[in-house]
Amino acid sequence: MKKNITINLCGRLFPIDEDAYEMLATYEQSLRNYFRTREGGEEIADDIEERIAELFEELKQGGTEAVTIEHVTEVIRRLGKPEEMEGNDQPTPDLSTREGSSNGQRTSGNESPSHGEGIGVVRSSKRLYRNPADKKVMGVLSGFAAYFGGDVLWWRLCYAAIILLSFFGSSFNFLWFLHKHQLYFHLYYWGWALIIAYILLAILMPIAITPEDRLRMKGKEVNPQNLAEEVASQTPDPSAQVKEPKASGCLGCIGGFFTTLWAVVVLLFRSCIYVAGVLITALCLAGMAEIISTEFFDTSLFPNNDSFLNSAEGIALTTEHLLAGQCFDLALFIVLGITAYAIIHGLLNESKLIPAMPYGQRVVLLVTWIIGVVITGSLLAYLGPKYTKAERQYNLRIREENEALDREANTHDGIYIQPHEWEFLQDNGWSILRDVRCNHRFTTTGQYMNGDREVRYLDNYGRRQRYRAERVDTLLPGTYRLTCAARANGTGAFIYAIVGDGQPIFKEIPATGNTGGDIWEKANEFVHYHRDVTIPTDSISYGNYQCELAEANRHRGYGWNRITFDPIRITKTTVLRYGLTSDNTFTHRNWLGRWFSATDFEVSNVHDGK
Amino acid sequence: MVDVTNAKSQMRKGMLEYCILLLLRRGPAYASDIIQQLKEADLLVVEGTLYPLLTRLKKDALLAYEWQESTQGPPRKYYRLTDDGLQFLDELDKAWGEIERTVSVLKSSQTSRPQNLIIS
Repeated sequence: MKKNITINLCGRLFPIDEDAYEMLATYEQSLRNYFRTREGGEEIADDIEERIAELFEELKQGGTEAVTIEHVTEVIRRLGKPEEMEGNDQPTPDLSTREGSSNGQRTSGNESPSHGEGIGVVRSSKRLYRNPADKKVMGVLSGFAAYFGGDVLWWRLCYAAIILLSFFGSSFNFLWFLHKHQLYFHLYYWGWALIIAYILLAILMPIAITPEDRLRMKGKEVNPQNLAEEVASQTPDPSAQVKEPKASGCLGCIGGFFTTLWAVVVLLFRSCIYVAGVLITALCLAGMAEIISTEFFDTSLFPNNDSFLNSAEGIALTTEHLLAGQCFDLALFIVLGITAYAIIHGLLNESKLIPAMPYGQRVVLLVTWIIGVVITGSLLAYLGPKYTKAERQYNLRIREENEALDREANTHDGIYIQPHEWEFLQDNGWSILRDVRCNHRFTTTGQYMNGDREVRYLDNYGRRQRYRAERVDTLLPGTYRLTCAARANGTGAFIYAIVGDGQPIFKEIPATGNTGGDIWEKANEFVHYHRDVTIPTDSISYGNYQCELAEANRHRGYGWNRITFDPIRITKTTVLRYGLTSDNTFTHRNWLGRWFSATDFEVSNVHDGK
Repeated sequence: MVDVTNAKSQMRKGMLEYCILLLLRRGPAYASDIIQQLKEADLLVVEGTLYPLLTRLKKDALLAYEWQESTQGPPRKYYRLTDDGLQFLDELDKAWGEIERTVSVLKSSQTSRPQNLIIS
């Protein structure tokens, strides 16, 4: 099936196939080009056109419905190439001068043939084109084969072999000689060089689209006859469309499978390329919009919390390197623009919506692009370290400022306490009175006596630290008992209590370490004693708690000991100050351990005599 | 063989103009008629050759044409000899006679390889 159009040839209408028309138009154009410089050349071309019309008319009389490409080929063969007409014409002027006709040399004519050929039909030498008719990737190697000769298969094999060798050559042991002579090193770069060369050539080599291009690619003379043959050979021949007879049986099945697989792979690859192309284009356009926005409107299109560029350091950096920055933006803009343009152009061209980019434009764009990339790269290399340095300074300053703020906010009476600890201490009425080498840590969680990892207790860890946490209760006259649980891994940590302005009473925390402890021992005894006893309902919670204590730390306990001040007699309303300390200026005993903990401070009223 | 083909075409070339004029002496004709007859006489390889020739002969005022209505289609060029053309043709007739004589003399005196003599 072919598209058919009607042409008006010297006042007569002929239906003609589109491809046939193209060929005819090319032929006529070459005729007009050829005779253009001649006196009466226009008339000659008109006469020949007239003749074509006559021949078509004959076809019509003969019952031909539409002029096909075969008919046009035949007509062109009959009428001849322009230089064939010329060739016969050439010696005739010599007829009048007798002498010339006898030697019959073409050069003796009044027009030199080279002149005629130069103007009319371009008898070009071979040119390097990409061959779209026989391509595996972009048709570069096919074009090479046409230009330099040789079978395209060998070109492809050699190319692929060198690339594969260079990438996987090191795993071929039989290439020992390459290693021996240290040739492998170079080979590795050959692969990349060939790949990059291929891409560059694919961009730079024009694609042979028109029949003229294809003739030049093959090094054939561009003349109507050859053109006709070329057009005819390119026209899909209905018989050629018929697939090769399918191999029958298993082999055919496998072949069909691989054909389908290949088609799927190609389709996937193409889709990936399309998607990537669209994505890259979108990124390029976004980048360009961002550059315009920042350069001309001084605002970023994208929400960014990059406070650096708005900081003193950032502003100093941008003002100091204003010109370089603008150059960078400009170069990047151009690079992005060309990239986006080329991709859009390529995709549209691939979709056959627009013709391929002209060769000159291609070269100009590529060169501009490379220059842009080089400028962008060098400016990046120049500005990058400066940017990094300024940013580092900025970050340092911000961190220092934040730390100062944090210190200010969390320092209470000259002691830095972390917020969550401060909250705990506040809630429980504790004040930190002494902090020497306490590592800003006054409480902790994790080893509470019943194994509850969330419970916070007074704690300190360090070496030779002086620690003092104190709580104050106001007590009415009476007899009181102070109890708490505490543990330590060395001597010199005390629980103390001070009544009014009296002398402090110290009780040293047993250095039981972080296992056992009398609380755990008692709980164990309780559990052991009640092993076979039914616990009264009202004691279940107590019993459960004892179980928890005994089972804490995988039945080893956490080393907690009960410490009791009993009795504490208060005669008049006064304050009871008590707490945990390792401060040797207070206890007059040196703290020799690493850590201590205390919790569950409880002041209870006990009745006299009880 | 190449030599022979080349030689033949050279001979044809030289004769073509003369033959066209001869044809037109019989009476006016369309270009297609001329082509028809030249092809029958095996003087024309490609038809396009005729048109530059006709144009040049017309330019030299050896022949002229008029637009003639044809039975089918638009009017066509109808070529005829001018008086100058007739005179020119007479000259050519004489020249041809001389050539013919020379050739026949040469042919009768020497039988081998006549074409070499003519074209070299």
